[in-house]
Amino acid sequence: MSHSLSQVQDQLVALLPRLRRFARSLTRHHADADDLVQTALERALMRLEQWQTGSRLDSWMFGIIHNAWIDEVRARRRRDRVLTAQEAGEHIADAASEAPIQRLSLQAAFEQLDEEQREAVLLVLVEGLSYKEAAGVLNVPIGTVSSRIARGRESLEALLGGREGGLR
Amino acid sequence: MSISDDMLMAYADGEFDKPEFASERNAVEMAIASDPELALRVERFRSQRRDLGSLYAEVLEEPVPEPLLNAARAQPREAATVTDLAQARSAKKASGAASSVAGTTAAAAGKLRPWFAIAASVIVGVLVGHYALVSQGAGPIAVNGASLLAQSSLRQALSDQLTADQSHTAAVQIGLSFRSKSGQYCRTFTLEQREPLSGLACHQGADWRIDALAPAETAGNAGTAYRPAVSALPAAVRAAVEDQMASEPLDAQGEAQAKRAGWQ
Repeated sequence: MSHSLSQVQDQLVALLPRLRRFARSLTRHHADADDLVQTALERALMRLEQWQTGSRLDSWMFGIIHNAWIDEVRARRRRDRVLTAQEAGEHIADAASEAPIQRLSLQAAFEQLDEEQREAVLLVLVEGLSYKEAAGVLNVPIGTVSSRIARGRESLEALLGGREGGLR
Repeated sequence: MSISDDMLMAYADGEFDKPEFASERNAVEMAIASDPELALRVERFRSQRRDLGSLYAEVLEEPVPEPLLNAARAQPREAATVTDLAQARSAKKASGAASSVAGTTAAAAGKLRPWFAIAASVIVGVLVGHYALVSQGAGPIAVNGASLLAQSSLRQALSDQLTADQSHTAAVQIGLSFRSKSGQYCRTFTLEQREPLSGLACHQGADWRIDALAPAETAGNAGTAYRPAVSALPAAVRAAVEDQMASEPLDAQGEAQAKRAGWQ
């Protein structure tokens, strides 16, 4: 292992803004996003030996965030079965009120995409990962990444009414 | 070679920049050279990509909250155990960091937690004694230092019993099997006895370590429930499952594979 723990931790700190952005795009909720990053950091530090030195730390962390979010969504579903509908509803309303009502900005349009499209679009078009790297993060075939990006792009165009670029 | 929209998109995304995609790259470039419509499509993909670069720009500019900086600098913890989880939670509470991703729902889930947090100490003193589980080392559970290990019939059931072919009258009923966040196989079980107990055991080394144990729900059919849903488990066990489950529970095939691999 050529990296000391503190070197990896320096890299993690440097990645935090991007990890927060990815988490934000997944949860669409400020506080949830930071809790998700926190969970991912704890998991990452617990199994640092699974990160292969030389491979991208950012991709590895994106993958951990992705998996932590899947766990969280599943746990919410399980809890929601236990909770009253009212309690569950409060949380949803809370999340919705975070988004200010405004004309559809690119960000607002992005948040209308389904989760799979948001992830793929963010990793490839915003973070600049290759389709292959994104496929590794999401644990799906490359073709799946490509079709999620294509569908995401189409939806964005439709939502923004072809405003971007105005070519058609 | 006809050029699909997917190819134009991949080209615009730089997927064909690598030498091994030279032929795809050439094909696209020849096509767009002769068809302005295709050239516009590519430009459109590129401008979309440029626009998206500013997505959540405000998140990048915000100062990173202190708890996250601390989490990135924290000393790695050992893989989750009952005690560690309880400690981690109180540490988190003390540091004022939000204790769960779930916001409001976490508060409700938190109601389950105290049970779990005290379970480790309570189990040994009360449950084990009361249920005579460790009678002369012959019961289903052995006390080994601070941890509880499955033995005899329980150990055998955890290692050998597949839910697909377990008998409803078996003395140990296996529920869910799954991979924990630390990569171990874990299984929920119910000990059928006069006062049934449900628990969660995770495979560690050659042993099954008991991570949670509580009186089984007496929802009428709890004793004979076949592959009970998580929600049918006692709260303490359910909380442990939620804490540890890393992915979907294993299906029958996954279970059989895991067994063949010795739960390693």
